[in-house]
Amino acid sequence: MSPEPKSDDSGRGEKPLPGVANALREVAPYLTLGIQLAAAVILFFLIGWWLDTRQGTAPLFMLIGVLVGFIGGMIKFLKSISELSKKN
Amino acid sequence: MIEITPADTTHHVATAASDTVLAAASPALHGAVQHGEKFEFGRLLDHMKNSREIEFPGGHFELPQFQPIQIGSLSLDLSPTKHVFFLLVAALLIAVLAIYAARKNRKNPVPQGIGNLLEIFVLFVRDEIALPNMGPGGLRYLPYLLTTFFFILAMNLMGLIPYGATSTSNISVTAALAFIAFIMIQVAAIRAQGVKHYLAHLTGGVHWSLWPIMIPVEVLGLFTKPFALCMRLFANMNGGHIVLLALVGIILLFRSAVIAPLPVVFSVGVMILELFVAFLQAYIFIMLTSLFMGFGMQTEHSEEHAAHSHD
Repeated sequence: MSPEPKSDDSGRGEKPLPGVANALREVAPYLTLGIQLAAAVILFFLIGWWLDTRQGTAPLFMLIGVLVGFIGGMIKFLKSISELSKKN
Repeated sequence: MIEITPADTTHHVATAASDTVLAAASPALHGAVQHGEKFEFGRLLDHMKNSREIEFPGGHFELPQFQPIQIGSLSLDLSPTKHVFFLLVAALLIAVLAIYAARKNRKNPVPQGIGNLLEIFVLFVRDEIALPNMGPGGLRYLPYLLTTFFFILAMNLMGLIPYGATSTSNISVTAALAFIAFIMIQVAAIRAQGVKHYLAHLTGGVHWSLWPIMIPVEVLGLFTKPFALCMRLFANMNGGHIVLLALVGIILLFRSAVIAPLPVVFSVGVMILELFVAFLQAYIFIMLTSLFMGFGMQTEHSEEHAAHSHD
């Protein structure tokens, strides 16, 4: 997955923090998937809220925003998951 | 960021808790709890917060305060605070040490003393972080990673010195560090992929009718990684301090010397843990930054390979 130079592993004795480094390398692509999904919903909700306060159409655009944000966030989420599982 | 419980509630809970425990433990100790006095945990928490004075053994001095600068409707107060002071001290310390070590290492073929110590860290960052995560192309970003590492480490360690303060426990500082990391991640991606590929990546590779939805989501996705970096460093540096204050607070809460040894032993343990966390968080920050930079640089290779194989 990561472009590891082959000379790096051999002939240098023990590596400091090998567990942490490998764990971070494994987990890093997944770290922000959750925030991303939530942030997409919140972003489109806020856009809807802003439109509502301007137009006075109280819950309409907020609801549309949440729906659109959820769809967008889900597409992004599923796409990243499938890309990552393809790489592995 | 930290909600301080109103003094009254703390007081009631504190006295109630200490009453029951002490009454059960020893009737003689019961007199130690003074009902009239307030247990002010809030004043302990003040030591974690930013302030305009620097404390030193036997007193404190006020930092100078400038007039806020007006830019349009925005007023910027650029006068130094405790965290700014210790941030500058950390920067100065690192600059002096690094320049001194570099001069010394240039003279001696075999590095000794401080030069040797810093070289261990530099080699560690190069061989264990930059090269495995970004490949040989990542070496041009090594100066950035090293600077960030030493800077965060120095700021973290500043808080463990008595009368010191941890600048990284201020969310503005971590946000600024994360902002620089954000720029570096984008620069690495743009440099490796080219502007066209970089922008094409932002559409998420979906049908054009979905672009109005996907482009904001993708742009938002760029910000979530540095945001997580910012919160992680901030929360980790604050967490240790809160645990320490809670432990010291136990002594003040019970107002008795009998209970004191236990929190002291525990807080020494937490201090040692904080020393480890200071190194670990500096490491994790640049580790994740270089990983994210590596992801941006990696997509170029795979896409180029794909393009070549199609041709």
